[in-house]
Amino acid sequence: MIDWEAFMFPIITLMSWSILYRHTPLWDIVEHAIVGLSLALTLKFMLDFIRGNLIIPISNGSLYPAIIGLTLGLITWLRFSDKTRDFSYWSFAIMTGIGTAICAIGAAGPQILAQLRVASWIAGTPMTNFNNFIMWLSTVGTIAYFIFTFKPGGITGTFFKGLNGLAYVGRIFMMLAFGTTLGSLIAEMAIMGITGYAYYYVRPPGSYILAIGIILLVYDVYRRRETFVYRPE
Amino acid sequence: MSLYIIVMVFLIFSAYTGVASNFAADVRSWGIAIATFAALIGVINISYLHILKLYHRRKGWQYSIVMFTCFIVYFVVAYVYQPGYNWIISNLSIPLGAAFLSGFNTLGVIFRGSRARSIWSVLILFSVIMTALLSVSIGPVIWPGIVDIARWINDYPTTGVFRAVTIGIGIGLLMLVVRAILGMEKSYLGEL
Amino acid sequence: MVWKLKPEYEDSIVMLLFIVVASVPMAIPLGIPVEINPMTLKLYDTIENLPDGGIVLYDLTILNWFTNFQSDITIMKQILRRVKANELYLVIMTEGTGPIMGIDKAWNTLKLGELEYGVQWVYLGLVPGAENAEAAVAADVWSAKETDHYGTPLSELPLMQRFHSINDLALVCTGMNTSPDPPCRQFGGKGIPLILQNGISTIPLMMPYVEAGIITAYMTPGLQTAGYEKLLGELGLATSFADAQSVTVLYAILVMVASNVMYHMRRRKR
Repeated sequence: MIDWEAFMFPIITLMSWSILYRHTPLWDIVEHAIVGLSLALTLKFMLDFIRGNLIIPISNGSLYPAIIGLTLGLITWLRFSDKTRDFSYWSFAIMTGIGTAICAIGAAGPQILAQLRVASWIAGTPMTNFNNFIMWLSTVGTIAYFIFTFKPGGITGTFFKGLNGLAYVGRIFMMLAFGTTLGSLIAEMAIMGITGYAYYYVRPPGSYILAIGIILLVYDVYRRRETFVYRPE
Repeated sequence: MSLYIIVMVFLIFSAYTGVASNFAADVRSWGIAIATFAALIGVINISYLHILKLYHRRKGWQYSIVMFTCFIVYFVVAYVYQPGYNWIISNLSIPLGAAFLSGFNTLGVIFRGSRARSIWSVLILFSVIMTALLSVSIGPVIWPGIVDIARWINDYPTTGVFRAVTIGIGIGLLMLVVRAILGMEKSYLGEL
Repeated sequence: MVWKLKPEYEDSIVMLLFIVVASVPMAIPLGIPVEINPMTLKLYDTIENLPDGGIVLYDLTILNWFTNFQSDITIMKQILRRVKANELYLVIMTEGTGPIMGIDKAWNTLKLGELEYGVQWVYLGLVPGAENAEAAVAADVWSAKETDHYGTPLSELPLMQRFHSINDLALVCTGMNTSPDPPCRQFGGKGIPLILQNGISTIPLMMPYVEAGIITAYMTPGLQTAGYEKLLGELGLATSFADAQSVTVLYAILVMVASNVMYHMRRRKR
């Protein structure tokens, strides 16, 4: 019984990673293969959804609300003709309205009200109070940076001069925060990068496929060695 | 545009008052149906582009044959031959998807973009290194203090900053609703 | 005569070395101890303390097989232990086509075939529409989907008779790798515990919601999942990758330092 996974993972990942070296036909093949596979999967599951949730209820006599959903969905396909394209915007307008409403309904509670609660600065231990104060300061400083940063001088600049100072403090906290984000991204890259494929490369047949890939790479580098360097002026 | 506003206002009204909640659920199900057909528009568009590429023999037309072969084979096999469908998932789809998600771009960003030009950049880099070492098992081995410092940075200043960002996003969403109702939001459908 | 390497090939060398550096710990395990994160303990306790008879909704949005999906599989293993003991019930839905492939591939690992379908668990399958799908399921799952993944009407599934909206759930889990805003908006703040499985880079984005109590606990791939596997006593791929992740992060930090040194040396030369 052939372990196809142990063959296919190394071959496909090497073909994908050839783009890191240079643009090769191997990359184009995998690029178009993934497009084809994704299209097929999307088509299959979307057709299954339409059949199971719209067509079958209609054929069973349960017209509402499936018939309206099917009609609105088919109206989106009117965009394929220049003469009927404007009608397709009706369906997209409804979909956009639904999406905006859903986001706005959910935004009020979890995104705004829940975030406005402040923990006490005086009730706990000194370290807890300090930490809560830092959290408050970083929140207020960031809001001040985005909303209350004004040009020095003029009425608003003079009136909100103190808030400019708060915005400066907010900028310091934002640097720490965005550094945290980049650090997290590095950790994510480390796990997403190639650890999964390294699992296949360090045992046969992946190690043999990797060896063949390295030989081909070294040969190509030697063949094109003069294109890698330039003479500075 | 009026359709957009009417649907949006009705759903918000229904969510907060409970009036016509059954009809609101039906409206949401229509949104799912429209999204399904919209996904199929993408499938049709890409297929049309590749058919044109094949027809006019544009550069790289041979790869469009690869695309259509994978498309047709996978689509047919998914319906008629379950073991073949499982084979394609395990040995083609998943490796392809996983390989394309490799984070090499981040490495390029780190190599080119993480140059400390001022004291503030050093602050950012300090935060980067602490957080990166917190997320791996070797961090506490190098120095146990890394865990405490990195967790403090993550739990307090970072949380505060992103709390402000989250509030900003929430307010932005509500402003979008207000602007749409007042007729000031015209960008959502491009040409209209 | 001085020849210089073209800048675009500098990146290629850095990435090639990255591949080599990541492969070495896979061949020669370093045995660096894996610590269990306090957030992992919180997640574990959240699932263990769910009341008997509760229904868990697992919403999968993305398939990153070696990373996020391994975390999803590990969380599902803990949930399925209680499902097998008839303490909990599981409903799985997906928002994309990728996770459907993941469930098919993980079928034997999760031993889903050993459960009584329709009674102990239900596979709703694809519910298209991203946040709209989440909102529809939270409000009224029967209006969002008429059938399960296999085409069986929901009315024929005993478990679905008890699940109509989010108020009927004991726990919602979402597996994703993007901004946590959509599930927090749709599933959060409704009195139901919410567990997010998300990418490591989204931890800063999730922290405000954790602090506000919207997200009960989160799981990230890599070290946290390795600790979770250790807690469950079922070591998997995440544990295998822990050493490689450490080495690659050290390499990335070295690249950062080297880049700064090279940059400042070149500036001084000018």
